[in-house]
Amino acid sequence: MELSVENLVKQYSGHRALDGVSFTLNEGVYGLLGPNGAGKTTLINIIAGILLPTSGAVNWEKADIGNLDWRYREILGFQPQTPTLYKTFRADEFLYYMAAVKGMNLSKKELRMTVDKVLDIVNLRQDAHRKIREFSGGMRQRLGIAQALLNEPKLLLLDEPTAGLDPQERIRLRNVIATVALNKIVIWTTHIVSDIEYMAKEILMLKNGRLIARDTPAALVDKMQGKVFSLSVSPQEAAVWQTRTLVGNIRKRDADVLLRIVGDNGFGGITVPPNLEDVYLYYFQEIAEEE
Amino acid sequence: MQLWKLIKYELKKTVCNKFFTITFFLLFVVNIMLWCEHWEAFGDGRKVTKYTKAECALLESLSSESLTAFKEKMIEQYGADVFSPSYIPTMEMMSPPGYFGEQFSDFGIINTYVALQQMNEENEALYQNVLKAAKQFGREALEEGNDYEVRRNQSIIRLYSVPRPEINCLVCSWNDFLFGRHTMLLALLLIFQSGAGMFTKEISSQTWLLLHTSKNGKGKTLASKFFAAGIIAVATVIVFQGSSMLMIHLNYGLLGAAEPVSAIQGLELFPFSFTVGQYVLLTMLCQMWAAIVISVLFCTVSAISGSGLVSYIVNGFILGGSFLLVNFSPDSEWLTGPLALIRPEKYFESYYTVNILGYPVMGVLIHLIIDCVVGIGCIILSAKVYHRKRRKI
Repeated sequence: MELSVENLVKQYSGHRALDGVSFTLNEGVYGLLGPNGAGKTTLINIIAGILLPTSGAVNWEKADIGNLDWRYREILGFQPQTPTLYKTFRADEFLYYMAAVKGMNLSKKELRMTVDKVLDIVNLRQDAHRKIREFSGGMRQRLGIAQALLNEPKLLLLDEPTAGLDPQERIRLRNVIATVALNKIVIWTTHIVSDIEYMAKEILMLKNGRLIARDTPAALVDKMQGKVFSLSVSPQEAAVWQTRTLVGNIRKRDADVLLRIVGDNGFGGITVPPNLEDVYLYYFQEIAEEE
Repeated sequence: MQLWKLIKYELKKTVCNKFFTITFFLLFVVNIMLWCEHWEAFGDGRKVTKYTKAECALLESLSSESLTAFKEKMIEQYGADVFSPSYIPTMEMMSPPGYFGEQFSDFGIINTYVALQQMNEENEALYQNVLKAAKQFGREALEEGNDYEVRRNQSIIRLYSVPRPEINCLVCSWNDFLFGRHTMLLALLLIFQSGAGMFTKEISSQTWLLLHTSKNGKGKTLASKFFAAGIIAVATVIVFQGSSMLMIHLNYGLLGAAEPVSAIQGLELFPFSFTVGQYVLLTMLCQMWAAIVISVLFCTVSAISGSGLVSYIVNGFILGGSFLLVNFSPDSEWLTGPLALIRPEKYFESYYTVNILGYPVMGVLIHLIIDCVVGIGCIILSAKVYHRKRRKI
């Protein structure tokens, strides 16, 4: 099982959304990390085959996805960013419809079992007969994931699947994806580090349309050794430090403030063990400042 | 099987839409209201039709001896010119009881008898004229070597030589149904509402992303949308025209469905031996066809439009233009537009043919073929542009 992306470029008028992105993926969960505007959705839409790149190619098992056409869509599960879905449909009805759209040739009984199974996975079985218009944002998001899982895809693309979910639902969703990820390539785009920290086999970091880093979470964190510091400053100085350095965290204590500084210069602070959020901050500092 | 499943879901998407339901209800009520302009007189016409029906039935049941006796008695009672169409009746004549008892006035029976006689005689004369002219023109065409005209006149002679059944009953209110305009306009507005949003709703709700990444999300889904639009178009015509027929019947009464089409004013030269009922069915089939064609156009514009607003504006112009063209068009055989068949009498009021390689082909068939070609072209265009356009977003 192999998905390869070769030198992808997507040029809009006056703006390059993707600039020479290349990578190859095998089975496992991959986190596509980047701030808003980094090109994550553009990349995922190109991989999903709904957007044409200006140049470059996406290959599934060494064959161009454009040539594979429906054979590629048959193995694909895609959850777009915040789809509205069909509000007049019931949840189960929507999944029956999606099964038909996905060309699943199942008997009625098999189909009902498949739908029940994915509804169980996303914990919506008890709401199967409710209209989608009555669903909360989180429930819709879960239903979107249910439809993506319906055809047991080999390639699962999730575009910011945790958007709009409360912490409990996010944890549940992470567990769901970890459960179903076996024998699949899962690409999960997000700008929330904790979504993918513990489950991603590798993290691909996208910034200004370029792939700036790709590694396992542990290796990325390891590369940050010696770049995260803890510095004690007075409460009055805290604000000034935030403008001079990248501050990952501020903890107020009785007499002072403890800053978590990310950067090559620790300004005399004590080196502390890094985590993935530090990695994010380190790589995307410019974007973060612009935002 | 899968396509039918997809069609069912597409129908549900459209029909269960709140906006569609409200629009349908409003247009349906307007249609009903327009057939009942004067509620206080609702149903009065039906009583008149009922009398006419009874009079026709009575006349049909009379033997020739009884009829002769009746005519003699009437001439004796009211004068020699009582069977003349210009005869001015007296009050006594107009009110029952009459010759045939309590139920019928003499004038009612005389009037119906004269009208039927006149219609049959005039139609017979008309056919004889057509045959005479066809023979004359056919001979001239033969001398000129005009194959098309020769064949056309041969066809006319063949069609109009078929003996036509006599008109035994007056046709009441079918004209209102056949030539009324507002019902089809209202039906088309509903078809417009459903067709113009068929694809753009997927775009505005972003659900097209789900469709385009699924195995059947392109070709079959596109086909199912066109089928669903066509089914909605047909169902809308049936519901609106059916309700109109019911309202006309309740208000004015419908009579004469079994009579020959030539009993309808303006269709005396209808080339085939159809009854009024069969012609009504033919008209409705033509209207359904026109509704399907326009729904295909609406869907095509919807598929190639970037937004719902553009789709509704462009489709609005298509609907408005087509409707104006068919109802108020210049006297052109070709400038009829996609809705020409909502008023098919244009094709049937005489033997209207087109010269195709020297052979006379009925105009309606040519129109159907053009519609098919345009429809298939539209679907191909939709498939190509809809797919490609989305990929360039």
